[in-house]
Order: sequence, then C-alpha cells, then structure tokens
Amino acid sequence: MSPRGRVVRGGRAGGGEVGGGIGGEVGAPRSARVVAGVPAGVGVALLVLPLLALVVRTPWARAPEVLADAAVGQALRLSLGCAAAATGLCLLVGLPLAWLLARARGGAAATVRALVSVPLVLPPVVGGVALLMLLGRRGLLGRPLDLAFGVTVPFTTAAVVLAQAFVALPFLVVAVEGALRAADRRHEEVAATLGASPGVVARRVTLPLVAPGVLSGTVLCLARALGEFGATITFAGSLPGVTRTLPLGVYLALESDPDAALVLSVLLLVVSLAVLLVLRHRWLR
Amino acid sequence: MAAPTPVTTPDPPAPDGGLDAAVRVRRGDLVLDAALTARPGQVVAVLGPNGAGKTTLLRALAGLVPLVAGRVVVGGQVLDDVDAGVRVPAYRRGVGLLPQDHLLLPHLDARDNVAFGPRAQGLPRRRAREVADRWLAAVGAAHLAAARPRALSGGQAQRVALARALAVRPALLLLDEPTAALDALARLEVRSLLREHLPRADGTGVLVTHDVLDALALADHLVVLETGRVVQEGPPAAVVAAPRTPFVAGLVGLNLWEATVHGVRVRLDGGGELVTAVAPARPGPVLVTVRPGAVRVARAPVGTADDAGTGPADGWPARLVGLEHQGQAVRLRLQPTGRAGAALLADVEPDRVAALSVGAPELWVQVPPQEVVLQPR
Repeated sequence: MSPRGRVVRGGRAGGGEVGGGIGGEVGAPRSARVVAGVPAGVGVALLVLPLLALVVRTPWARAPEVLADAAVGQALRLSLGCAAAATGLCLLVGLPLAWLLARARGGAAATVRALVSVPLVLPPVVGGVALLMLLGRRGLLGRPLDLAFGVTVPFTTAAVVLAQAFVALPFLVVAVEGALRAADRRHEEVAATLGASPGVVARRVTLPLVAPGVLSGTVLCLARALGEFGATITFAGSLPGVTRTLPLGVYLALESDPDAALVLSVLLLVVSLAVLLVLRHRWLR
Repeated sequence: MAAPTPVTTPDPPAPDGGLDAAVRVRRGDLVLDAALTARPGQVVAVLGPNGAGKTTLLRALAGLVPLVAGRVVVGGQVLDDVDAGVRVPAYRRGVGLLPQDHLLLPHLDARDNVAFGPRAQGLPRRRAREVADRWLAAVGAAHLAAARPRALSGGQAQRVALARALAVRPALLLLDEPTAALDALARLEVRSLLREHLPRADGTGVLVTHDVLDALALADHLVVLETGRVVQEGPPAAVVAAPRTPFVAGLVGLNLWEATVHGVRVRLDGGGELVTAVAPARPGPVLVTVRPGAVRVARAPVGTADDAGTGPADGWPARLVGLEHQGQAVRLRLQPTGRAGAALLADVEPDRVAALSVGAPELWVQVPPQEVVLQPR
C-alpha cells in the first residue's frame, strides 16, 4: 500500500471525488477567492458605476442641440489639437530622453530619472503655478522674453500645450525607457556588424523593437494631455477658442447648464475610448 | 610531410589578406590575451570551456568591445591598433557575426532580415531584396522568404541568419556556437550547411564552439582557449589526437596525465607508474595520453608475457565510480584507490560489464606499454 493511497483514503471518502476536489482548487482556495472577491468587486464598482451613472443620466434628447453649439466644436477642436501638439512635443523630447536614461549609468541618470517622475506625483495645479513662475510675465524666463521680444506665453494656446506636455511627458518617458531596457541589445550589435550606422540602427532596429512601449507611452501621454485641467486653467486660463479645452468647458458648463456638461462629459469619454481603441487596433493589426 | 608532431606551430601571419589578430581584452575578472591568424578562405575554430573568453574574443574582433592592447588586421585593412589609436567602429569593419540564437529582427520577415545588410550598405530596397532572395536560395531557405522569425524553427532561423551574415560578403565571418542552441537533427543540417558555405574565396571564418565535431568538420585550424589564453593550437585532427589539457582530453574522451619519464618508466605526477614501449631520447616531464579502449580491466592482476617491468608497472587497483554507453562499448569511470586525481576511463565490451561490476569492490587496471603515448610538455 503506497503512503499516498493511505493519505487519500484518510482524507476523503472516494478516490474519484478527491481528484475532482483537487482539480477545482487549482489557483486559490474557494474561501480565499471569496475574501478577495468582495473588495475586488467594490474596486470594480468604484471604477465602473460612476461612468454608468454618467451615461444613464445624460439627457440624450438634448445631445444634438448641445453638440451643434459652435462653442463645443471649438473646444473639441482645441482639445484635440493641443493634445496632439503636446504629444508630438513629448515624443520629440521624450524619446531621446528615454534613450539616454535607459543607456546611461551612474548617479546623474538616477537624479534625472527622479526629476522626470516628479510631475507624476505633483498636483497639476502646482505644475500650473510653477509654469507661471517660470514663464509668467514676471517669471524667471517670462520677464526677459517679454522685455526682449515682447513674447508672453501664459493665457495662449501655446501655454495649453506646455501645460499638457508638463503633466504628460513622464508617462511617455517611463514607458519608453522600460521598453528600451527590456529590448535585447544584441539585435543592435548584429545590425552594426551588418553595416548599419548608429542612426540606421536607431531607426530600423531600436525603434521597431520598442514600438509597443512607444505606442502605449504615446496613448497614455495623449490621454493625459486630453484630460488635463488643473495646470491648464492655472497657467493658460479659460479663454473661449484660445485656451478653453473640453475639460474646462465641462467644468464651466456644470454651473450654467448641467445637461450640457453631461453631454460634453460623454463626448470626452467617447473621444478617450476612441484614442485607446484606434491605437490598440493599429498595434494589433 | 614530416611525421605528425604533437606541438604544431600556427600558420605564419598573412600580410596579404586573411586575419592577423593579437588582442588583449579585460572583461570583469577575465583577461583575454590571444592571437589568431588565418589565410583567406580558412576557417579557425576556437574551442574552450564556458567562461574561457571565446565570445569576448569574437566581440573584440567584431569591434563590439574595446581592446586594452593589440592589433586586428583583416584583409590587409587595420581595424584595431591600440598603439596607433586606430579603432574602426563595428559598422565599418565588414566583419559579419552569426550569433548562437540567430537574433533575427522580429519585426521583419526573413527576406527583409537578409536584405537589412545590403540596405544598410546603400542598396535600394528592391535591389537589396533581390540580393536577399539569392542568398536565401543559396542556403535552401527560399521558401521561407515571407516568414516572420517567430514562425521559423531553430534550424530554419539559423539558415536565414547565415544568409543574412553572408549577404554583406564579410571579409571576416564570426560564428558564435552556431549549432549549440539547436536540436540534434537541426544541428546536423546547419553543420553541413556551414560546411558548404564557410570556405569562401573572399573571406576568413572564426568559429567559436565547445563541440569538437564542429571543429573537426568545419575548421582548418583549431585554437584551444582556456581562461583567456591559448593553451594549444594546430590542425584539428592533431589537437584532438594529442590533447595537452584535461579540458580537451575530456572532450575527446582520452586519458591524460602529467608525468616524468626516465627510460621506459613513466612516473605520473598524481601517483602511480606506467611503462612505455619506446623510451624517449631524453628523460623529463611529459604528457601521457592513453585511449580508453587500450586500458585493460580485470577483477585481479593478470601477468602478461610482454610486460617490460614488474611491481607498480603491472597496474593499479581502482574502484568503479560510473559507467555509460560509448558507441559499441561501455565506458567505465575508474578511481584509482589510495590516491586522488582524475578518474581513469576504460572501454570494455558490454558483455563483460556484469562480470566486472557485480560484487567486485576493487578492479585491476593495466595499460599495455605500446599504448602509452608520450608528448613533451
């Protein structure tokens, strides 16, 4: 008689049932799943129920009228344009930055990495105030700019783009740096032995290898820019057609016309989901 | 040709072409200090245990790690000269690399992987793809042109990787254990493929391996590298026949001892004594090799008529510590009793194994004098 046989007979009545019981408990035991399931369900509800409420309470009958409003179209175009410009700016400076951080060694890189991450944890309003202190009419850089060239940045569309880039850049850098670190560098070495100069290696080997990371970083960056509120309203104000993006429009409409605010919120939700889906679809092909 | 001598000198440097390299590279604790020469069309195999610096040597030749000292000349072109401050970057060297795990670019199909080099060298896309198709056909992978690397088997991927390396017509082709990651069947395929494509009129090959068969099948010259230094080199067959280090002896399955010879008496440094049939001209330190098939194993000492000596030369007691199949025979691993040192290998007929291994605490091993092969050390 095998020891295993004795254990089985001591534990349960029939061998077949024991096998079924063991099969059902692959993963976590049932009791543990129940204990974890309750808070997990609360978490899902916390994320999903508000969006559901938004959709349910939206006065769909008024939707065409609200959306036809010229100001809404203006805000939507401004939002998309600024978010796209901010994302482009982030790609332009963020890709080289991520590459340097991924390849660098030593304390300087660690310091820069920490500094780059600050906007991730900083309240956006504080970011807006900080931007004002730098580029405002009496700011460290804003004053000489104003005196020398008559250029003032705050409360312009450019300020919206800067505010969005300020909060969104870390998302891109973190995602791309992670992808660069995970990529097999020997691909780059073999490409070099095939005659590819560093520029060709970057364009035809490194970039395609980290494309998934760049893409997810870009999506996060774009979504963050699209939803930007605190830094924008602080640094760029809320001038219709110039700096009043859709999130600012929603906030203002909540006071004057709550129904319109709901419709605009759903519009932002749809635009955000569309960005996510379009990019995902392109990636999955 | 003179009679084969165990110590062979490398071919003279080839100033007119080929490879002439002497490199010193520091890599962590390892200091690699090795010289390699080869004429155009020749293949040099570098054999050595893990951590010997084989891959570092290839990376140095490819220009992927800097030299501390030394010179690399390929096809008459100076690629590295530390004293003169010359270091040609990897992408301008014309030195190809075939890595162990193919490293095909996952986002390109097989054709575009092979076309990558010609494209990087300035060919337009269409011409580069034509070149790629020719090379894919040459390695028997034309039907794989549209496949992504993910969809290829190990052997197929290595074929494509070889086509990719050859498509830039490198003056020096470096192969880093090209068969190590493959299963047995694919290994045979890739080995015969390399045999077909490696000897090239316009280039030299350096093949890193820890498979003796690769070296024997593919190389004109064999260099044994251990802890960063060349410990033996020569024609592959000569090196394999007369190993000078335990690593090589172990690879080819020969018994190897360091010993001192006086007349016909060979005193092993680790203890024990053998008798040789032919006394060398001068006494002194020697390396002794004995084929496992030549070792006689019995349950008790056996007096033989042709023994030249008596006493310890009549053999040693030994304990059986292991056995394995070796072709038609069974290879016994025997530990001489009463002293340390490497185990002794002996091949016996399968039908004698039971008689030898069952219930015998101690066996008796003897080496006939005519089977004791000496080389100076």
